[in-house]
Amino acid sequence: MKQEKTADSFLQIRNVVREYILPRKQLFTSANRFRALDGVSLTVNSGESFGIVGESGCGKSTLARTVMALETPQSGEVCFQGQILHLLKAEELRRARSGFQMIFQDPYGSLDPRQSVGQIVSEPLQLLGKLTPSRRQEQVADALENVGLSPNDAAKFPHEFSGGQRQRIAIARSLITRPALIVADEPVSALDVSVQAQVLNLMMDLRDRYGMAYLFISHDLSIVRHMTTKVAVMYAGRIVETGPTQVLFDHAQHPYTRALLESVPRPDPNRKKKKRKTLSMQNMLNSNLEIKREIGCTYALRCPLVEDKCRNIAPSLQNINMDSKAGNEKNSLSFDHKVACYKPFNTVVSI
Amino acid sequence: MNLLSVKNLTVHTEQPSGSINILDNLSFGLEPGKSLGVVGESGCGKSMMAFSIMGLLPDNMIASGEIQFGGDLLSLPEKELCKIRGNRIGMVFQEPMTALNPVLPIGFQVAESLRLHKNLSRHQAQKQASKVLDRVGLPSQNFSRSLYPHQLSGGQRQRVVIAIAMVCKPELIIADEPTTALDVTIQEQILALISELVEEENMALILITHDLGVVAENTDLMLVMYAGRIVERGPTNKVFENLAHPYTRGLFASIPDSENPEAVQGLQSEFSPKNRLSTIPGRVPEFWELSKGCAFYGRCSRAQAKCSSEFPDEIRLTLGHSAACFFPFEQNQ
Repeated sequence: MKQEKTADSFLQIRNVVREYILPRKQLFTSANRFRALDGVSLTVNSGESFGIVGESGCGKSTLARTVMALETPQSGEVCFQGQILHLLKAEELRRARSGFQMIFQDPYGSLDPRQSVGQIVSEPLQLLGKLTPSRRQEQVADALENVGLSPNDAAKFPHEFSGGQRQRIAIARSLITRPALIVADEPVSALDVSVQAQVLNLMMDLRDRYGMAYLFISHDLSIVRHMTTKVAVMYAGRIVETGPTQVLFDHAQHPYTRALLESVPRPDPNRKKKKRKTLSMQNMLNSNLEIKREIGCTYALRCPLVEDKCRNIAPSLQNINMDSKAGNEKNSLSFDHKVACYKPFNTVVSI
Repeated sequence: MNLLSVKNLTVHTEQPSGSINILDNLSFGLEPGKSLGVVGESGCGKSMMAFSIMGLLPDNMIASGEIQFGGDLLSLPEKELCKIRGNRIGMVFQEPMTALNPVLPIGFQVAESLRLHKNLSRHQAQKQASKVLDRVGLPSQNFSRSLYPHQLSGGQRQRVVIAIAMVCKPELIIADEPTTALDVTIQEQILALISELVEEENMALILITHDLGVVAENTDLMLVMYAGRIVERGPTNKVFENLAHPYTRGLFASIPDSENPEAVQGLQSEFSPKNRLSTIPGRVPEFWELSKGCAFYGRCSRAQAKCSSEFPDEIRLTLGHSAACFFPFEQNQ
């Protein structure tokens, strides 16, 4: 390896910026750029489940693709087990890929209908080469059993399986190289509620057995809360809040995180219509204004607490200094809790 | 007096292997000004129910029974149905991009049903359509009526679809998964908007969804469907107080929740060991796999021999709350 190893890092994402060039509106003007990732940094430790939440278009899938080395960042770097991914040569990258695998969102789109399950699951092994067919078959059978399917299913084709089973096949495929990191991009959002739980349980069982890390991307806050130990909330290409899952969900600081948490419908009929009236008209005009690459906080357009400062200088991620009594007992936990906001909740609480 | 009453609605389709019941003996009523939530997983027939009411069933599906809406909708000729559709019954579809015509401006699409049903001139219709678009939160100073759907975001498109459904001031609105394609924050706005409009005009609402949270927060009454049948029904708060059918319970318990798991009647702990989600074993049966017994038989923890041979009738638990199960969960069990 030509890169120098960075101190015991498993996955480090440092200041990643990924821009897409939009189609130009007029011939002689310069094309606009859309910044899908705007200086994202985060660290995932080995064996950790790290969640990323945010609305559609906030850049969470771009982040997943960048971690998978499917996108090259314009600046910044993704460092996996001491290797900076986008500096690797094609052949080196191919080798390295056995260490990180991906589960895609839609099990109907991610499995080739013309390949048998055996072919699908063994494809990562084939690309790594150097395995006899019989050995490969053994591993396929093993992987299928791991995800609760039968080794006989290897001869079948994807259309013979239900959505939940297909997602199991996709998990088997990602598992077969024994990766240290699995990037799961909305792994259950295409599944029915009762099947969702089966797949999530399977993912947790596998984690307990093999100790891989998950980068778990979802828009469903309750699932992320259940599955992960750390979480980052993204908004418009930036991380606005990050911390241990429990702490962040219980003591959300950023106004966006709070809005997100409050808008999740809960199975509690008594909660209904309490907040309704205020909500429906307010906010919605600015909520849909196009997000521009402005200098201030990206959330300023929708934020109820916005000040002049927010519009002019983007806040950076800061540790939260809990000065209240509640803070002291949580201190050890909230150490990692960071928020990018000038007016985090604990300072505004006294109304 | 019921605005809509559905009696013994059965929808079947002929397959080479025989006749398959997509909907089996559905009966329910809905009063004006009330909202009804229909919950169930994909393939349980909830959308087919909506399509039967709208008279939009695919050609190979045959409906029998009665749908009373000031007259039996099932026996009406297509010409008469056209006068009701979009006029007295409005529908909000799931995918706003496919529900809207991509090559027509939004103002035109909203005005279309006014011109058709209310015989308004183009100018009058445009004017009124513009007012409705104002009402759903797309004011004309920011959103020109000549915008095309692709120039709007998902939430804005859904607002247009709602405007189309509302523009003739229907007595009944059917919303089929209106927010499934949207983000939670937008979902909240859209649901608030629907509820507000329905209240304002005293319309009845059928809200079809797979999300128990959405039903809890937005409806007065609810139905739970499984494999084409109603398995549990009642006033929303009563059903949530005491989930009686094992399927409803299982569905509920498999949601990773939430603020306080204990609030869900200790369900999580009842069903699942250490930090695992409780699951319903197996999967939803395909329609051709159904036998004459309870459709949930193969996945149910309480199933007994009786369940496989007989379909349970609905048992009344408390006023208005009933479940189709031989062994329903009792209060606080």
